[in-house]
Parts: sequence; C-alpha cells; structure tokens
Amino acid sequence: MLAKVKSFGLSGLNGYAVDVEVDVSNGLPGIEMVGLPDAAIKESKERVRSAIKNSMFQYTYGKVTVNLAPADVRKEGPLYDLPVALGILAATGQIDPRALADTVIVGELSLDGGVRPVRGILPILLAAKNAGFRKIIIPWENRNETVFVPDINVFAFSSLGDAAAHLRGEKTANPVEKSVWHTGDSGTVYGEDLRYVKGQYAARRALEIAAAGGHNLLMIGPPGGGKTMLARCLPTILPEMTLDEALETTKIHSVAGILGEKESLILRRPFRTPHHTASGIALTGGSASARPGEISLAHNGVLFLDELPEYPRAVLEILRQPLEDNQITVARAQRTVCYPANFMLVASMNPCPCGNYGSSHGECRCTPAQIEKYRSRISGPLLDRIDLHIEVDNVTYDDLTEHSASEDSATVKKRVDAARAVQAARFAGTDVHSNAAMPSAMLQLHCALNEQAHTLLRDAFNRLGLSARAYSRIVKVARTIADLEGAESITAEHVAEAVGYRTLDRKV
Amino acid sequence: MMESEDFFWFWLGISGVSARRLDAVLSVYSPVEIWEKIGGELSDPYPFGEKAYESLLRYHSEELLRKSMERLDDLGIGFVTRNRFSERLSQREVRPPAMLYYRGDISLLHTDCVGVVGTRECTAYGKDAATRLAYDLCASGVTVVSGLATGIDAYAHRAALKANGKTIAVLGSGLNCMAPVSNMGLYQDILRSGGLVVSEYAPQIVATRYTFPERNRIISGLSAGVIVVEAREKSGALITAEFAAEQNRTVFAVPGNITSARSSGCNRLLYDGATPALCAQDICDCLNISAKKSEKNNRVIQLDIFEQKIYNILISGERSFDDLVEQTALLPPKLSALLSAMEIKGAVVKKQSNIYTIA
Repeated sequence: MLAKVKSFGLSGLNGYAVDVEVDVSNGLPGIEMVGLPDAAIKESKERVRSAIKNSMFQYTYGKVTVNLAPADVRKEGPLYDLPVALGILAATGQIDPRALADTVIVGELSLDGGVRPVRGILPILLAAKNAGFRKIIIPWENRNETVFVPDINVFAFSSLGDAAAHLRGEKTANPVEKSVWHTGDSGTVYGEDLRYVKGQYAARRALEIAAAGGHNLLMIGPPGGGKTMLARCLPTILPEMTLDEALETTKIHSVAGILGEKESLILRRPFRTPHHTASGIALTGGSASARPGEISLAHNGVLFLDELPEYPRAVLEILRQPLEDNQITVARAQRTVCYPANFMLVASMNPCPCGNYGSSHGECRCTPAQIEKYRSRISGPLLDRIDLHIEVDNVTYDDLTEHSASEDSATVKKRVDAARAVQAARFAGTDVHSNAAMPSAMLQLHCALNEQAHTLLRDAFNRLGLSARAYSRIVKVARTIADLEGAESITAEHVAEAVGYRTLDRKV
Repeated sequence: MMESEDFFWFWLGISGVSARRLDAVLSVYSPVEIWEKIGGELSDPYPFGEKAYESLLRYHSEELLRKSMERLDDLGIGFVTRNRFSERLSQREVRPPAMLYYRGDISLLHTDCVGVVGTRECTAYGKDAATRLAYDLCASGVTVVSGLATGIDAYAHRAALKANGKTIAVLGSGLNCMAPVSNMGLYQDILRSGGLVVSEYAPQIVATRYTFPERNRIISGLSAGVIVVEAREKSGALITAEFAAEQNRTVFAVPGNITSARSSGCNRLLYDGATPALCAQDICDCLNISAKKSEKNNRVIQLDIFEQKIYNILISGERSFDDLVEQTALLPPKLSALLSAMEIKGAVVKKQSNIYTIA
C-alpha cells in the first residue's frame, strides 16, 4: 500500500516542499530509500525501524520503498525520520492515510521513539505557510520558534507514539499557542551598559554616532583600554529590532541550529565575536551543506573583530563584498545560496605590535617601520568601508573607582532612536535605511555642504593630509552628527567633528 | 673634451683602487706619473692590490676609458673626480676616493652640509628628532646628508624633502644596486627634488658588510658636522661619529633617555664631549653656517571663545580628551568638534590615544 507524507527541506534560508512517498509491498524484508538522500537520511531506516518497534507499533515484514520527491534535489539532514515513520504506519494501515493529508511533518527520531529537535524549523514553517499549508507537525523542543508565525497550526510532539495517537484521533493535541509581538517591549537584557563605562567620552560619542547612522567602527588603543567592553555596549544603544528583522535573524540562527530551546525569537541584536583564527568559510558560511557563517549570524546586529590585524588578510578581504551588498552568496558544487549579512562591523586593534604606542602608561618598543607594517595589514579598501576610527586610551585607577554616574544606555538609545527616525523619514520609499548605506547619488541630495563647511573640509584635506577616500565617509558621518542634533543641514561644526574620526587616513 | 687631470683620476677611479692604497701611492706619485709609469717603473702590483693593478693595466687605454665614460653616460650616471671635490671632502683625513659616481645635482657637494645619521631600528622619539632637526636644517638652507638606510636615515631624507630642501644620499653600494630596496621610492624622490645620490662604488657593485662603514667616512667628509640622532652602544652611526672626529668635524648627538638602549650610544658620545643637538639653530651657529632666515609662517590663528578656553588649558601641558571634558565642562560632541576644528586650523595637534597638545 502507498502512503504520501508532506515534508520540507532547506536550501539556504528557504524551505521547499518534499513529498515523502512510502510504499510497502511483498518481497524480501528491507527498506530502500531513493531521491538523492544523504548519509543522515540513509541511516534513518535503522532509527525508523527501532522507533516504530519501541513505540508499540508493528513494523512491516514487507519490502519498504521510500521516495523523496523531487528526485533531483539532494536532501540533507535527519528531519525526514518522522515523516518516513508515519508514512510506514499509514502504508501498513496503522494510521489513517487521510489524516496525513495537508499536514507538513518534520522531525528526527531516536531509537526509543522520541522526537528530537531539528534545525531550520522557522524557515520551514514560513515556507509551508506560504505554500498554503495550515497544519504542521514538529518536534516538541522546536515549538518556541513558531509562536510568532500566525495562520498555521503547529502541533509539537515529543514522541512518535504521541504523534500517531494524535493522527489516529485517540489523543488529540492542541496546537501550540501563538504570542503577539509588541515592538519595544522586548525587555531585552544585555550584560553590558554604557553606565559602567567610566570616562572614555570620545569613544562613547563615537559609539553613539555609529549606532545612529549604522556606521562601521574601528577602535584603536592599548590593551586594557576597554575596547571590547565598549563594543559590547553597542547593541544596547541600537534601536529595537522590528518583527521582520527579528524573524530574519531567527531564521538564520534556526538554520545554523544554534537557537536555544527557550528562545522563540531573537530579540536582542546579535553580537558575534569570531576569533582571529576563524577561517574565511567560518565567516562567510559554506561547507558542503552551505550553512550560514558568522557574518550572517550577525545579521541585524554587530560583528566584532577583536585584534583586527591578527586576522589573515585573505579572511579580512572576504568582508569587503558583504559590507557593500549586505548579503553573501555562497556557491558550492551542489547549490548556491544567498544569506543576508547586514551587520555593523566593529573592529579593534592595538596601535602597534607591542600595544603601547602613544599610551600614557607604558613605553612602546616598536620601531616606526614595525608600526607601519602592522597597520598596513589592514588593506585600504577595507579601511575605506569603516567610517569611524577612534582612539581609546587606558583607564586609570582613579577613573575606575570614580563614583559619578555615567550616562546609561537607555538615555543614549533615545537619541539614537530619534536620529534613526529622521533617517527613516529621509529614506522612505528607498531600500536604504541608514546614512552609512547612502549611495553616492543620495550623497549629493541629502548631504549638501554650505560654504563654510566646504572651506573647512578643504583645509582639513590640505593640513591633515587626508586621502581622497575619506571624503564621502566624512560627509556621511557629518550627516549623522547633524541628525543626532536634529539639524536640517550640515554645518561646519558637524564636518569638523566628523574629520576627527578619520585618524587612520592621515599620512604618517 | 676633458681636462687631462680628470682623465687620470677617472682612470684610477674606474679601476677600483681602494682609497687607502691610493693614498699610499699618491704620497709618492701624482696621477699623471702613475699613468706614465704603470707597467714600467711601477710594475709591482702590491701598492695597488692584485685586482686593481690588473684593471689599471686593462684600462690603460684612452679608447677604453672613453668608452667607459660613454657607458656611464648611457646609464644616466655622472662622475666627479677627486680634483673637483669640495675642499672639505678632499681633506687628507677623509681618505677621499679617486672619484664619486652620482645621480642628481652635483653642485650640492659645495653647499653647507650637515650629516644626520642614526640607527636603523629607531624609536618614535628618534623619528621625531630626526624629522624635526632635518626639517629645520633644510628650512634654513642647509643640505642634509645621510645614508639612505631605513630608520633615521630615511626619516632625515624624508624630512628634507618635506621642507623642500636639498639632501644628499651616500650609498654603500653601486648606484644601480641600491639596498634596501624598500627605499627605492625615496631614492627617486630625492632625485626628483633636485637632490643628489653619490657612491664611491661602481654602479653594479653590491653592498657588503664592509662597504657600509667605508661610506660613512664620506657622509662625514661631505659634512661640516654630523648629528647622531639615535644609536645603540654599538652602532654604525658611531663609526660615522668616529670618522667625523678624525676629520675634525663637529659631532652632535641628540640626548636621549638614559633608560633607553637605543639612545645609549648618543649619550655616551655626549659624555665623551660631543655637542648636544638641541635645535637646528644651535647647530648652524656652532658650525658658523649663516642660516637663511626660515620663513616660518607665524600667521595669526583666529580662535573663538571656546577654542580660546581650550587653548588656555593646553598651554599648561597636554591633556587627554576626558580631562578636557571635565575641565572645560563642554559636552563631548561640542568639544570634539572644537578640537577637530582647531586641529584643522593648526592650533592643536592630536597625539595618539586622544591626547591633545598645542601645535
């Protein structure tokens, strides 16, 4: 007898429908799987057999043929265990095949009949919904991912027995309850807060500008200056994620399989800190199964590269294209997938190999040639994509023990939100969202400089020896500074401050 | 086409007789006499060295020498023979070579020159000191002489170029085998700026560990005084200082921290009686060089009240950004705009780590 079960597979961030067809016929006992299954799927026959047996069902003595259609797409992962098992039960008459109609089923089985969580539930759910399905059966532990997707009934089970009982109508389960999204009351708690950053006024200010305009940021300073802590504070002053942003980010994390069981939706902006030994593939995503990399996991959040010059140059150069396009295309022999990668790059570096150059606390032992060499590890084109360079000095003991309260993140965030609102109005109807992403055409439209500002900028170029590439960066940052102030047009003062954030462009 | 004396010196020069041996022979014979007597009366290769003697014989032909001159001309390399050296360079103590190969403006040999030398592995302090002294010297019309090595040498040359001044590089190799290659750009810049690059070695000679110390005597020989900017206890720069002392040049040394290993050689020189190099003006006075009044543009910088306030605080010493926030009671955005504007005007300088100081 033949049974058909609907299931879904994953290609990048998109789900696609897979028909699991199970046929049981007379012949030598055994199970045959066709339809380009990978090793994890081929092994599922052992899991399915034990799970059926251990769930007090009858495994068939006939020959079982399983086909995963479409037959020409390679299927991956253990998420077809549950559909295959339910298909066999239906084909052997242990559940009614009609109960399986219009229901999408995904899940991995363990030998005792339990259903284990799988990755990528959220994208599968969204794809199933878009394909017109109204019922889906998923592993119990994945249920939290589904609560913000309306219009589709999600049934979550922790064992094959429960799922079969539900389908047989013996023990009907209720669909997972939905939650309603409220913007702004996510109550996200971050470990850090700007309140705990003592002094560092210049760095705090730069952080605020970066957050307000979506500018990439490079911090230069001796070890122990608090660069990492400052970077960790950045997500706390970024605006709240919208539902779309949160869903997008959650999808990526779901596909990567790093979503916690409790976590239904990622509400905090991600803060990813890949180590400098990370390979290019780890950053961009890839491997045979084309999983998302660190830059995609940082989507809508912050990618923090500590000790930037320590990264292999080849790895850093990889960042150039995603920084421009906000997405990364991973092409592999079997598939080409496109992951979103719209992140803010925050990097930190020491001013010289020993770390003490210019520090008020230690003596630098590096030769100018060594310093030049160290700095030249970061290529011009990459530097070109970083709008703000700031210097961070060591914190003294007095600073640390000072009790006067610094401004907290919530206050800064209000200003950032206001500046973002100005930008949202300015870029309404375009696909640009922040000043940092402005293309050259818009630059002329929105960033007109008055005569005074022009004069000042010309002087700055002559006197400080700025390189030509600094121009558009300075203008964009000046625009953000003006937005923070609520100013309509860019004045000389805004430009002056923006010039101050281009230290690495100066000729040594 | 050529005065005969030049011709004989050229012959001695292109044969590669070492300056030391040449001195010994010249104390007995004049160049013309050597030309006439070589192979005959002067048939002993010993005073010249085996190799040099052979090439002296080989080049003992007017035609060949003319061809060599043409070949040098093709390479774009000039030569200046010993009889045309400046008085200073021709001193006996300098042990001048028979001739120098050069590219650039040879008339610089006869200007007021000061040598600026130092370690290759210089510190930021050495870089600053070399840059400042060389810049100011050039601004007052002095020609800066150095060795086109990395470190202090390179910074001295660069500062000279920045001041639109003249600079002479003395190579420890042939003009076509310049080392280190990383300074090739600087070499070109010096020539473009109307400077001079000289070497006592034939264009294709590669530098060895012996050629560098040898050329140091020419650096000091060209100069009225030599400034050692930064040197360890054992440094090539100290060899230059030694040559300078032998040649009766004034030796200047830039004082450094007694704790800094890279200034220990300089401090030792000072202890031994070298003149401290404090500023370009002192050096010019000491060497009796009439310094061209450098047109330091004392243009008036307009400051508004806030900027004046900041300026007044910075007069008493450098301050970090955080200190300034607290002392001026200005908001960080305003202060950072002010400081940046002042920097553009040239009123303040931002150092590393957000420390500001008066320009």
